[in-house]
Amino acid sequence: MEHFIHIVLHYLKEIIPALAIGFFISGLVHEFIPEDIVLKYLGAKGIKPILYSTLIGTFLPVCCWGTLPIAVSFYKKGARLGPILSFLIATPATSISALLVAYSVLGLQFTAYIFFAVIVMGVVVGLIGNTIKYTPKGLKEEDICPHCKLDSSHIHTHKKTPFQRVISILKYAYIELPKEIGVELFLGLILAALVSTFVPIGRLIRLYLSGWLSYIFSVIFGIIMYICSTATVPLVDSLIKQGMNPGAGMTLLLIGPVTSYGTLLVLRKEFGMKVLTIFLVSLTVISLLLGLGFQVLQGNSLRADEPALSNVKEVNLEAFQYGFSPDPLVIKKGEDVKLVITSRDVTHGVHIKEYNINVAAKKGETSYAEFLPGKAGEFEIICSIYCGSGHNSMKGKLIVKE
Amino acid sequence: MKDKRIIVALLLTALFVIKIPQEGWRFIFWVLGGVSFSAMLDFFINKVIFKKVILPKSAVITGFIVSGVLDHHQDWLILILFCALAIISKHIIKFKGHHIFNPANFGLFFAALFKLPLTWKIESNIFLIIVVGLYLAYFYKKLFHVAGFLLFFITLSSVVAINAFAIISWFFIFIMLIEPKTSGYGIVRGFVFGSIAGTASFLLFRFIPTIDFFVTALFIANAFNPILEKIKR
Repeated sequence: MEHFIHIVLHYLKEIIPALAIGFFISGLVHEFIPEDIVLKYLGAKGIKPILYSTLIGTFLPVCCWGTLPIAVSFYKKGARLGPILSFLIATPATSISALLVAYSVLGLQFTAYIFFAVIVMGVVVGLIGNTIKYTPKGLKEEDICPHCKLDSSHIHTHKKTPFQRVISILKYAYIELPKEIGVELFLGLILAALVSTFVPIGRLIRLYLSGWLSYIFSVIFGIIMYICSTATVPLVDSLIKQGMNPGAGMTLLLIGPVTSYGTLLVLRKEFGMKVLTIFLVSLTVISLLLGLGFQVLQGNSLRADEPALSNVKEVNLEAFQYGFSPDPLVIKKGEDVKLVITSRDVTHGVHIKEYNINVAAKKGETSYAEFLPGKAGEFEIICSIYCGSGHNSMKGKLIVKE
Repeated sequence: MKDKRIIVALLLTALFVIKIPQEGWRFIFWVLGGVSFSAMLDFFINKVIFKKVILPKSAVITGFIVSGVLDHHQDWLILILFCALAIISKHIIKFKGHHIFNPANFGLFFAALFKLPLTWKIESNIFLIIVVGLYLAYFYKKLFHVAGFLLFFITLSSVVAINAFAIISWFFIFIMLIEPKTSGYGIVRGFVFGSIAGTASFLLFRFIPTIDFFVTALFIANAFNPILEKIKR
């Protein structure tokens, strides 16, 4: 329990400064970039409205639930489907506060990639959406502006004094926004702390979520569950620290905030099954590809500067054309092992299927793979990256002794 | 033999048989499973969707390549998944009525993206591959594809002091790169296609070696097919 509280406090310490700044900037954006401006740019034809809606959506501090009524009203006012879908993706997928929290928790590389990925996702799905023919629904009672009783499809604003603006910014930043995402944020933190604290969860993640299965988990979990973009960050951080594939973590970061089971139902009701299917399929494919792209960029190995655990035994393994040294590699069952992998010549891949290890060994670099040999026996080590004409015969043996 | 696909299938069978003593029973079932599944799926798609009855010779080759390159220790579901992806891509991703991606390579590219090990077991005898491959490249008029690839891959590798011959896959060059339908015809087109594949292979090997550089490079070169079609033969 103590460890659990310690982790919750650690995350709070990490994210509270970022949240405070992020919420304030979100309040400014909310006050000075009103919805009518967004609408002005969504109605036009071509790729420009898609770009506008994606970029605006990237910074707007609205969750997937908050995005829905806006998108529905745009839809009823006759905006093209492409910009609407871009908006539906880019807006909940990230926000200023989410980007700041991501920077403080996950670092610059993750944050820059999220920003880039959300734009790619929004633009691609928008372009797909523009190819679909559909008829917008008519205007209803609720489309009348509550302040001036004008048809809200006409772009208009309500004047405020500077004092009213300051109050409005602060109210949105520190009352409405925390009310909107506070519960999810808290749940996200609790989930993150649980993942980090519970040893069995960590084991499960290392066993099943370090490979390609993690992508399936991310897609299903991300589509069904709702976690806001800011709350997803600590959860993904803890999953990755427990051994989840970073690419799948990125997929979860991208898809998780965009949809939930509830939003899917609303989408189906408002936009129809065809649009929902296209939205979901394209969102899934693109977020998977972007996750894989991130994994490729990161490489599959642990970082060289990662600190070694004190009770882990380090074992050297050298790959060369076309074999491994030592061969056989002998280790003891039940003893945590850290493979220190190097390459003598070209890039090789060290793959041990039974222990879910697949690490690239680049020449001049050191890669690491940690695992707990729980099963005694003889296992094959194969090279998983093409390294020359003898690649097909390159193998070694791992012996795990009782 | 008029249909050279039979020669390709015979070459692949020979390469498969050569590898059997080293790899054992699972390898036999793995490759035969991949070949049968690909052939049946292609036959089924042609019969049910396109109402055509065609002997699935290309699908047999696709099945051989996918199962022969993919690590045979993986789950059976993985074999089925990537063979299916290869065959389905041929029927779905089309440009001006014909497919642009080498089907086997398409499946393998996604396998590589999913970090599945590509062991290239089917590349069991490079001498046999080079001899038969040269004949196939000559017959299919694809020698310029090979020349473009080798020129760019070897030259660029030499610039950074890498011995290209130590890492070249002759199976890739003579079986996958020169696949008749997806590599374009004509001297200039062929040379440009080979050059793109060669350059991409080098760049991937140099900068992103964690992904299978040959498979990814061919995927990239295939993606250029719609543009390459604008080049006069």
